[in-house]
Amino acid sequence: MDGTIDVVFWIMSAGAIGAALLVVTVKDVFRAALALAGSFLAVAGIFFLLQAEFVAVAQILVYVGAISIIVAFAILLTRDMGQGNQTQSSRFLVVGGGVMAALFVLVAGFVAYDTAWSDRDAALNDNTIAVLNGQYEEVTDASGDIILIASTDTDVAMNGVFSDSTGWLGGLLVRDYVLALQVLGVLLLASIIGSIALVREQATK
Amino acid sequence: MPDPFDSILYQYVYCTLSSTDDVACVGSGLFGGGLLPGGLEWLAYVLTAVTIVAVLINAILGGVLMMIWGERRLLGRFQGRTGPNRWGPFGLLTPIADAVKTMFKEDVMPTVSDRLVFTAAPILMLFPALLIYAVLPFGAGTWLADINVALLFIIAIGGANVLAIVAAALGSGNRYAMFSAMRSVAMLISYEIPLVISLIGVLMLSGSLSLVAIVNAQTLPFFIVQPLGFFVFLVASMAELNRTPFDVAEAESEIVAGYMTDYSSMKFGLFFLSEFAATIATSGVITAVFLGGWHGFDPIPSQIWFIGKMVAVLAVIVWIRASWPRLRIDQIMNFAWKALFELTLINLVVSGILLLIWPSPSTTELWYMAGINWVVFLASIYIFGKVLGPKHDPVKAGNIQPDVTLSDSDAPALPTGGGD
Repeated sequence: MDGTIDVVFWIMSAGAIGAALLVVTVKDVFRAALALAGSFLAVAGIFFLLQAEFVAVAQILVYVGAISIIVAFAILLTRDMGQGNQTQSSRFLVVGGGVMAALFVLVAGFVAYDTAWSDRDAALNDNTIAVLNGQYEEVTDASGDIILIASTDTDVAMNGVFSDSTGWLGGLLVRDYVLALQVLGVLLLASIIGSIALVREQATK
Repeated sequence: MPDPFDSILYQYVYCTLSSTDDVACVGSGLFGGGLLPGGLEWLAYVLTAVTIVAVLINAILGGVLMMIWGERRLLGRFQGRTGPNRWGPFGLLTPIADAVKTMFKEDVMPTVSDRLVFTAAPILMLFPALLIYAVLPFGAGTWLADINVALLFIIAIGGANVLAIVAAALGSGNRYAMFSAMRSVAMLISYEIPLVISLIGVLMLSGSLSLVAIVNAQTLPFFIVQPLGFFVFLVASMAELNRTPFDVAEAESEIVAGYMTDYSSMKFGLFFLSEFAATIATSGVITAVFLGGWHGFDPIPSQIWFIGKMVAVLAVIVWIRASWPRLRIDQIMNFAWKALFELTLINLVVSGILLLIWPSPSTTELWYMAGINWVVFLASIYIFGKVLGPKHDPVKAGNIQPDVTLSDSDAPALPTGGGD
């Protein structure tokens, strides 16, 4: 079904890029917010296609379900409804946008050049999956370096990361990176309390 | 990724269409198809998807019509009247008349509005409601997709309808619609939190986010093992659905029809349709997660069991609608943050401790867990009722000024004990 996957991938990519272009070209700010949500959805579709279901659903939950709604709510609370749709444009936007686009292309190009890309066959290599799963042994090779090789129990290893990325991510979060998770929680709590303290109504009595 | 041929829905249609020597159909025992010549398996694949989606969407539409009829009849019974009984046996054809009337009404477009957003809002509203059905397991081997994050997917998609409500409010540019959108965004965001946390107890018991795996894990239905989780999930999902004790977003006595005020004809019909479709989908989720899904005893097929349980949940939802008056927005927010949120945390801690004692519980151990959980459930509901009862209503105690000051004679009497 590789051909089908390619077709779906191109549809999703075209949707994501087209919606993203709409976000920056449409004058009406709420239409732009809707296009942004559409772009996020298309990216979630690409994640589904890559069998990263958890990332896909987290993308919908966080970006479509939370960020887009906060954007929409901000528009709802700030726009003067009597005036109808308000539009903004400035010739400095073109200059600023051009500079930003050039910088982004620079960064993305560097990342694309610098990343060691692997194809699907390499990613499905027994050794790769085994190491990703923790099913590996450390062996010292002839030159004295420590290398990782797949443990003998490759049946367990093969059924690992690609069939259940959710469980794998969950295990990482609450075992290996539990401290980082807790610190993030404390940081979020502090920022929430800080924002409440900033916007709290002063007692007028 | 699970093989789509796990589902008998795919097997049956695909193997009837494609040529008989297709590898995927060998194990299924469904030979004798071959309507398409060899080499056209991709066409069979596409046709299968189109067929099943068409069947499912029509089943949803039929289910919505049946539910409108059932709800009106049941409400009639609860209120001591007959309900619709004129057209067809027991008034069964009434919803069809309603649908035809809705479709042929004039489609009024208000002048102060963003036409595109105004038109997109009802479509955006229907879209998440229909997507939930993609992951519901309707019976043993009967589902569209068994993705391993199904429950998270339902929560994520279910939260997206807030965007549609805001779009409807902004598109129609109506102040009633704006009030409605602000109320419903505040309410939906608040109830999302207990809704998600109440499911974690079930996830810990089943060890999976896939609805099929959750149903298979229920040797004992989870509403017996997780009474607190079940209660909170039922209440929070009724709030998410804007159903009656929580329908401040479309409170007709205060803000006309809320975000639907400016909509007419089939655009209004789509809002109506998506509301009912979401209610049926939620009852399906409750059935799969808490009521044992398709499990039942033998002569009756599993699909009938699932639909029967769904109908029972829907009846309870209508019963709640008939029994409770609409709550004020401050009561709703208090209930979410001061009662449901803490109850889910209690449930989470107790379930975690019980799973430490019995790490992979057998059916007997599930019964022990159920006993302890029921004691915790009843005790915590009693304590929370005492602490947050009507005596502690912040408006009556004078701590909060209501927006509009009503004298006691103006306000409709709230029943004592309920409500708060």
